Amino acid sequence: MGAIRRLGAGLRRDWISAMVVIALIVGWEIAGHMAPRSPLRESPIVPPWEFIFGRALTGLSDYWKIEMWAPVPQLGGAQTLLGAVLALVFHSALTLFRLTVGLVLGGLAGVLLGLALSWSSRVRKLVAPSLHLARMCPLLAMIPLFQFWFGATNWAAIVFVAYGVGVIYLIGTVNAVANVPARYIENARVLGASRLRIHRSIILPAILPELFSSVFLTLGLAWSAVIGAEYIGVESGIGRMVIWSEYFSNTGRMALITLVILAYAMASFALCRKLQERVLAWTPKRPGA
Amino acid sequence: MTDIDATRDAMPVADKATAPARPSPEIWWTLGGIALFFIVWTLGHLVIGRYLPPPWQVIAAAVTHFFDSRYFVGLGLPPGGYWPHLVSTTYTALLGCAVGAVIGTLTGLGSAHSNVIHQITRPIVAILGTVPILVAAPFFLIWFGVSENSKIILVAFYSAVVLHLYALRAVEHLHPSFAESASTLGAGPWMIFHRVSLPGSVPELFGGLRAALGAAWGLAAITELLGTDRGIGRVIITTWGVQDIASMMGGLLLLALIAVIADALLMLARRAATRWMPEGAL
Repeated sequence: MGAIRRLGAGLRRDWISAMVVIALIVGWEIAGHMAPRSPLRESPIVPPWEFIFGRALTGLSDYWKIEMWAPVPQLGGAQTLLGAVLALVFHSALTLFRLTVGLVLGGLAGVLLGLALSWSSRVRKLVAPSLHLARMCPLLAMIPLFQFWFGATNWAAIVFVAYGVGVIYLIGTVNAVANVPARYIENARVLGASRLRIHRSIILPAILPELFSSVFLTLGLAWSAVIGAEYIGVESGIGRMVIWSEYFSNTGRMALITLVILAYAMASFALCRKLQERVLAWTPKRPGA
Repeated sequence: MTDIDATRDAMPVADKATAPARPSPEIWWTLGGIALFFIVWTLGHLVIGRYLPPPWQVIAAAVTHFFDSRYFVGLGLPPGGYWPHLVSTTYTALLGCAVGAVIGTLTGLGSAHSNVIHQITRPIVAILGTVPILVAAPFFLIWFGVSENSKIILVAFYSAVVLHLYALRAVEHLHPSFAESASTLGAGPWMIFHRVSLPGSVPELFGGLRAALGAAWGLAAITELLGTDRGIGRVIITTWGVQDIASMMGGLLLLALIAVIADALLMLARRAATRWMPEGAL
């Protein structure tokens, strides 16, 4: 009941946004019927919704390769809805696994290395040029290099995500530590705190709010990175499904997978926002923030 | 890709605060840092072997193939070395970023001022901001063709989203007392927008521009991996095909170098544009 009432209140307040979403959906459908007919039945230029959730959805069962639970179309089996769902779940699970492991590994490595590098301001100045170059080096253009080093394996994708995420956290941590007001540290030093104690009880809590701005940045980056890694090398995962569909210009399947990825990405952002509210509940609210 | 605080040049400000008037000039630390970078790279080469070519091989590849290269032609790339590809990628990144920045700033400032614009743009930005680029790219290539235009449109979309969010936030962060005091002095809504909100959000807009431009290089390069015969991305993927890591890294290094230069120019522009601000207000 409460959820419905909240939804109603939200709709009353943001009715224009709701109208825009409806207009986008309807506009897509109209564009799908207005767009010039493509000679291939499987690849309309703008796939209408009934095509996306009809033929394209069952067509995804082509990517189910295990002879269990559902027929395998590659071996002459029928295209089934169950097979499509299984294929989607299987490849999503792979992608989400790579994303999560890469995010956690990269985050941990980046923050720890960042804290180590900000032990003294001289070390920080010495590594600054390398960090700047690492940040400016276009990540997505480095996919072939990582494929070369790690092969087209699960680890290549994970390491690539971890690298991209780690660089952002490293720079974020170094910047955040540099932004901690000097008087906090001086105060603690006057009270006789050791260097480790200062790092643990002052610097770490103080940099958390700024680190969370990196979390949102890296989440978007990690999605791009994991899809990119699957796109160019690793032959599984939801990013690879896009390639398979693109290979035969199955635009309906491409649109469907795009929607699925969009849903995952939005869910992961919402999850992060919840986490941020919980972890940062102690920080004073800024006006207008 | 929205929340990084590139607006504050964190490190220099803090260094000034913690270590006032250190006699050794900053330039020596920077030079030492660059030297350290090459030393670590060389050590990495010694450990890993031929899969990580040493810096001199990569630099040699970048220099010998810069203007003219029969080797690249032999691989099926158009005549000329790295140079025409660099120009092409730079053109895509800069033009896309500029077009996107203008659109994003306008919609962002607009939605900070009017609830209707805010509600209209919000779902669109939420969708465009979350779709990973590579998933969106094939549709752009189908709709706009494999051409310079579809690459520019793709980069422009992403830059517009970044600038939109930064502009929105910039106006929100502006203390309401500025607008109120202007209002007390008799300024209308247009005057407040033009004389208070716009100049007040310039520093954060530059932060957004920095983030968007930084991403634009990668976006431009990745769209080249998908199609078109020009651009550094194409060189990287072609040399990948023959496992020539030195040339791959050479292309990457050249692109990173251009990105660093563009970033430095942007920071100079920011300094010129915000000269009127009191020191430390950024």
